[in-house]
Amino acid sequence: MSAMNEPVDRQYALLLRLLFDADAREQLQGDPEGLLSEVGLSGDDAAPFRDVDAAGLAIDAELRRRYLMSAMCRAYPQTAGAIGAAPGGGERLAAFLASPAMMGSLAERSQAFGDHLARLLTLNDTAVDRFMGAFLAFERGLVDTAARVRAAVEAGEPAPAPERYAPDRVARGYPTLSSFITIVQLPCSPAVLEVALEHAGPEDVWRRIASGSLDINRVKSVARAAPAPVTIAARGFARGHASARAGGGAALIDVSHVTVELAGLQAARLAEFDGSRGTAELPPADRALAEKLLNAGILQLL
Amino acid sequence: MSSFTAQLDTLPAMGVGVSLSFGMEPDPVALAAMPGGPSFVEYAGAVQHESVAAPVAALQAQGVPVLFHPSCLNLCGPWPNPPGWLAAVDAHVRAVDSAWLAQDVSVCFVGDEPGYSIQLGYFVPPILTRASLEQAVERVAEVCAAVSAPLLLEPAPVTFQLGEMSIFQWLGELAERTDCGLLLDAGHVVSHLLAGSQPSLNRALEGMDLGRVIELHVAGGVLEKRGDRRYYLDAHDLPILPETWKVFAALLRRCHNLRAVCVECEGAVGRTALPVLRRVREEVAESAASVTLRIKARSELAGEVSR
Repeated sequence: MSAMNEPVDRQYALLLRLLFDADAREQLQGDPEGLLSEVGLSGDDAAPFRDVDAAGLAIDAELRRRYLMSAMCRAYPQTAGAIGAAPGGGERLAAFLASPAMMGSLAERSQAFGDHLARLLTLNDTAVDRFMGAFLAFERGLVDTAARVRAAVEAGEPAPAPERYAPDRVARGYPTLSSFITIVQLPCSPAVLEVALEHAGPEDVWRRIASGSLDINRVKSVARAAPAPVTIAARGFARGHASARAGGGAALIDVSHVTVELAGLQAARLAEFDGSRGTAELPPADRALAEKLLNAGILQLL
Repeated sequence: MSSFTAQLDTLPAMGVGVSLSFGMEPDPVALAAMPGGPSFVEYAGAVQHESVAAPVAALQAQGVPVLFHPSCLNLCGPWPNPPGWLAAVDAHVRAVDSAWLAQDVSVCFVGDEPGYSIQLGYFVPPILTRASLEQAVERVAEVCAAVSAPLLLEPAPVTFQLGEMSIFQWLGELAERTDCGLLLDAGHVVSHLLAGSQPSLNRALEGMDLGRVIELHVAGGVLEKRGDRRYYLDAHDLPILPETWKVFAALLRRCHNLRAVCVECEGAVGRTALPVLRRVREEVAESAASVTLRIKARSELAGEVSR
């Protein structure tokens, strides 16, 4: 590995910085010698950057920003949507592009973007920010679960799709929470927030943020409404993958989630499904819940 | 005789094909089955060849060969390609029987962990200086040493240029020094003509050995105006611009060792692909400098596609 100490190495490092960091591009225009000196480039080695076409560089950076922010927000549509709906929210989200995490693996980057969202939510500590904390926890839970599923598959462990149990097997079994489960309690259904965000979803949330079409006041209305808490249980599983056995790089593992939404605060009740009680021993209400969760794959039978 | 020249005789005439993504519209397998469909399918995708095994098998069962066109190799810049990554690329090329391996000369990943250009938003183009050229020679040599198929170097599209050399001079020298072939994308060439200081195609190509050009690409794009300058942006889902057709026609007449022309149309409206293929075949059949390719295109037009 190059020690990155040749002038050409520093040139490439600066090029990357210029493509991702709006402040660096601004400095190249306003104080080029300051920037070049800061990165250790002088004389002929600095020459390419003195002549660069600022408009062309800006177009390239815009294209990258559009693509990468779309990819980044895909895993956090509701939190990114709520933050991005506020004035200046898009810029605050896109500040992440200058982060060193952008040069890391996709998994590290996605988790670091979750950290960035968490920092943004604590920055102003508004009612909407506090309200959104639980939704971010949910979205981060899904990201973490997906990473765990991928790690398991890469290690040769199973992360299968939910299986269907025959009724007699259900009656004889001991229900317990499946592997790769995320359980969160939210102040309202994600569907309510989705409506407030005018159905901006993973595919288009960044485009909607960038176009300014999201209305923060709609999110505020949801945040100010009387709580109608729900509990969400989500199970991650691998839908298919190609191995990385030839060496280097992450395997391609497509992770999906099945989710169940329950009215009220039920995380503690779900935790009681720990395999210690047989389906037949459960009170009728718990048995009905167990059957529903078994059908969805949130529970499995021991 | 250089090894490139020796390899040249072994490279098959692939004809006129398309570049598409598996699992996306237009569906490459369905398109290949249509009368007037592509004679080969080029695809980008994951290094792990298992991920494309099914559609590649379906195409090969129709007699349609494939070309792997990855976006995962550092062909310039300071970050080396790990041996395991290169071995996986080689395994992919062998598994799908790709006649050659072509990629945009760019930085696709940063640091020790290999990856894909999309992780950086797109290809990061080379810095066009002598020192950067020396480094690119190292990167390309790494790939050539590890991959069994001939390597074709393609200029990535740009909206700005860094360095005192033109891409044509820089890439031409890179191909000479590494004894590689070239792939020229007509739209990418337009982007370099607009971004550089050399607006004339004829002058720009001086010093580049066009005998090394084995494949041409033609694809849709967008012209964006900022101030008094225009910039070319790649957009495979859109129609091919008149400026691109013009450059394509000029290249076709000058690249006498061509073996393939590829219409890149990922995301385009499916029914527009066949008329574009026909137009490209007609141009190739009429004016390609490569006799081999001209004969192949005429055969395709006559419905006598030899697969």
